[in-house]
Amino acid sequence: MKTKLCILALVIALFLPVPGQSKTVVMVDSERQFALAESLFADEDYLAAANEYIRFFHLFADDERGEHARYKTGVAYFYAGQYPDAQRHFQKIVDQFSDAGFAPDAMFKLSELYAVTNRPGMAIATLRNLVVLTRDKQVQDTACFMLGWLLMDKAEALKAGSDFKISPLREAKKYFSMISMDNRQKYPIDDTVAALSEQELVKKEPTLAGIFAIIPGGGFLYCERYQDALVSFLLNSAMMYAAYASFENDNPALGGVLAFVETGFYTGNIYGSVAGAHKFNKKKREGFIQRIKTQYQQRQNKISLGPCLIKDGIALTIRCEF
Amino acid sequence: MSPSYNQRVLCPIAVIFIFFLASPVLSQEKDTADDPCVIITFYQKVISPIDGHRCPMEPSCSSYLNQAMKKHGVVLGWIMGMDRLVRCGRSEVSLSPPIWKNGIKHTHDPVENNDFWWSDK
Repeated sequence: MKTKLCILALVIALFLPVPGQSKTVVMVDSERQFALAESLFADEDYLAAANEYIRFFHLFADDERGEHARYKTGVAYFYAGQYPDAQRHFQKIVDQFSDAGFAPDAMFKLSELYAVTNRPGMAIATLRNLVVLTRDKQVQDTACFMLGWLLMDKAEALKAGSDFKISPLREAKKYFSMISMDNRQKYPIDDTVAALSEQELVKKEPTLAGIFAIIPGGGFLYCERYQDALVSFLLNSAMMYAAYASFENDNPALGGVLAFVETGFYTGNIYGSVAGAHKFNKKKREGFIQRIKTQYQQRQNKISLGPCLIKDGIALTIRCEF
Repeated sequence: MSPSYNQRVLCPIAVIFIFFLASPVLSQEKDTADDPCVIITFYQKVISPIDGHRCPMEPSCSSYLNQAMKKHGVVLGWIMGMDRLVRCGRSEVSLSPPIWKNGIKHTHDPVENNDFWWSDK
């Protein structure tokens, strides 16, 4: 009997609440959860913020801020440098495009992500889609403006890439021209369009440089590299003559060496001429963008352009304030 | 007596053959070959110290040739190197940015500045 009582007392004791061990129950509602995520984002703790935003749209799936939370998740991952995760979240918003929601913002951010990760073709395709999809004139004009800048900034890379066959500068001019008259004051692009036309005239054609280089130095001359042109012409002529004279004077071994070296110089002259044209265009384009940038700064408008450190180098960032 | 047509053709081919034999890149992975061309290594280790380092470019022409061969293989590397020899210390000096090495001003002209329009490497 005693044993039974002992066991009963022990069982009751096991189920009794332990004094001093009671825990505070935290009630999390959507407001507090969103505020926590926003606070972490403001503190630049982007990975933690992304986790809280994810928790928000999973726990409160019916909340109207769900899309906002997903967008902020993408932004947080973007700032944390986790580009594939950021891309995934932006893409989910873009897939259900609506002008009223965060889809336009997600598309702007997605194009920025592509630009930062050295995929200018994708960045441009995203902005082009936005121009087509949106009915909001303001968004369309901003997309056209950013497209213009992106096309100008990445012209060389786009031309080198196999996915972009048309002239990026001509395309940039087209998109700048598409900006509505109402926003022309906001984006002072008239000078830029005029400058773009001028820019197209001064560029050097790499194919033409290569053709001119058939005569040694001709390509360098076309690219305004006068010293290189003179040296290339004299060196190639002398080497050709030396090789010819060696063979004529019954010295095929020397002739062979000279002919081999001359082949290198001659093909190098063609390569250098083509590269020279590309370098000329790059330099002109960089100078041109710098000039336009200075013009914008002088006007003290709300558009700022500047270099920004990224994972693999430096990127040009465009910030528009509305 | 002037050499025959065969001699004129065969001699340059023989030189090219010898040059490429001296280039281990052909038989190795491009990335693992430390010295793509023994001729360049010989120049850098034996001739250049006696002759003196006078190249006004950075990297020097021989290093540039080495890097170009490592990056793009022997044929393209050779072409790029020959192009660099022509441009060395001339128009490029006024077009490319300066860089200081051991207190001496050089012209910064790496391989990336000359293949950016076709190479993603």
